[in-house]
Amino acid sequence: MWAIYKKAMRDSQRTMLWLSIGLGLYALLMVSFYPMMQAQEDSYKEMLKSYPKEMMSVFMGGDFDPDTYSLTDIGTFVQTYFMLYGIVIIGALAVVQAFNAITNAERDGTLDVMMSLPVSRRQMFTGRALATISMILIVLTFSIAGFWAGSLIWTEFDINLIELAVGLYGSFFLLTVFTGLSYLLAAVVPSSKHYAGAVAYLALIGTYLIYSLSGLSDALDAIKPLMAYDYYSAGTAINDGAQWGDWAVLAVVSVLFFGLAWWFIDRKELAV
Amino acid sequence: MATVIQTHHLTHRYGSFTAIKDVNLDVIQGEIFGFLGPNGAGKTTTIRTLLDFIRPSSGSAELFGLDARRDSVAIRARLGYLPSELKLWENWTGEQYIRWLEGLRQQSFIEEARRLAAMLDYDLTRSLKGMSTGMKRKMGLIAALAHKPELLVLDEPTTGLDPLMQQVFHVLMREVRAEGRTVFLSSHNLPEVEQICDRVAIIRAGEIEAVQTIADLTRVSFRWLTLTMATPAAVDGFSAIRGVSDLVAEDHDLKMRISGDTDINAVIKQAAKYDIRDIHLFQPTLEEIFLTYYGQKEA
Repeated sequence: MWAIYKKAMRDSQRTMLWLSIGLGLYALLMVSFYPMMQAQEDSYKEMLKSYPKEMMSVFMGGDFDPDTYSLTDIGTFVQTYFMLYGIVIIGALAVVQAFNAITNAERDGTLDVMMSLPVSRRQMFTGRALATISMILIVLTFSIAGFWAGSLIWTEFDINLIELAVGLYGSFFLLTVFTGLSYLLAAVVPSSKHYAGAVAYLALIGTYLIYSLSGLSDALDAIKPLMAYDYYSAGTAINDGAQWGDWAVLAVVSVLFFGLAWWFIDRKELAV
Repeated sequence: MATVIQTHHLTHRYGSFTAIKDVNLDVIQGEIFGFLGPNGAGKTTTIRTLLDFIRPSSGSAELFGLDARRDSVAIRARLGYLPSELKLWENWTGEQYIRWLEGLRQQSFIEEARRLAAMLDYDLTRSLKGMSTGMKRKMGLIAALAHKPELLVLDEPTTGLDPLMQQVFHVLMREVRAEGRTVFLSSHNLPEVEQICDRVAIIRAGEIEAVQTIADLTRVSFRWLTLTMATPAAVDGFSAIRGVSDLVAEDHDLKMRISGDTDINAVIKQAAKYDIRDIHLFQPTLEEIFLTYYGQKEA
């Protein structure tokens, strides 16, 4: 299993490295804007109030309220300017990794080569799934490092490493839901069918859009608890600490998805 | 000798399509067993079932006396496999790939890989990226053979190999046999099977039509011989030769069918009476072999 894990890590190291550096630098860049935003907060608030509520809801999150919204609140800042998009970007990486591990490997024949070796399907699955999870953690670590480095340079961005770690690593639980779902789809849907990837991206991006717009519609607001995004907010985690109750819900769903994928992979017909 | 592969009424269906039906095979240790059939006959499906890539709809398969489904990991530790369409991970060199396989198989075989690479004229330090089909095939063969598996399962192994390398492949197969190891070789290339296999199973439309020794196959086998003459071709003298049939004279070409028991010397002597400009020898198609086989069986 570890040989598979190391190989999966090696195969993705370039993608992982560039995404990690990119998001780390993006975090640093965002922090560099923080002192300016802090200095001009009143003007920003006026500007945000002038934008359509629908637009602000999508870009600032479903709970956006121009009257209570504070740009200088660090939790809100990290959530709004980083994690809202960061989740989708890192989630997309996880979806790609899951489908590369099984569906695309099956299509291009490398899974045949792998499965002709003395490795069980479940060992292969576990090695590759662990590699995807490790990649998520590495990318998140670089993002945390970016924010932390920024806080050392621009001291107005007053946050400690533990608050940052709790806030950003908390997204791990949300990301593993999408990762687990992707692995499950890859294990269940034959590689000849092309809709599995679309379903995974729909879950990642479609529910994000629905969640973002939920503040505008009572109907959407009613189904918010069914969406994974409802159980994680970097802002809440940074300001109020770990949200163990919500994260436990995400963890249970992730374990369920991974467990089902682990069960199905052993029953999968590997297509030519 | 022990039975290395044994299948019992192995059947696999893709939905309503039956890819293989009631396949019964016994492959004995130390033999090169050819699995011959036209494209789409069910060769690859049989192999994929043996390797537990797909599961039988009914029937069962055993390798080394172990269940192909339940004991697949233990079985795969003892075999080497070359798929018909090989795809390798392109971010490695051949040597890195072998090193990774060593770790996975917990066995050291880099020296054997280097020996095989030298025989196949392959550079293990080269990146696997952008390789031709033939070069990939060589790398696949090295990876399948290097750990000296007890059983080799090779699906169309010589596809893409040049004639010289095909000869090297034949040498390697004889080497494997001499060491008491077993080869299960799928092919639609009759001459290749004839050259290196001990026994052959012929599969057609998912069903095993025959399991024969190569001697029996050669007996029902035949060649098409075409002689191009300086003068208009004539059948005179050839029709009386034992084993020669289906003579057709067309312009300057004389085409005839030469069976396994043909008196070849008589054919050469008769041809020497003419001014021969060219000679062509064609292998029969598998369909022609099947028809010959069934013709004999019915007779």
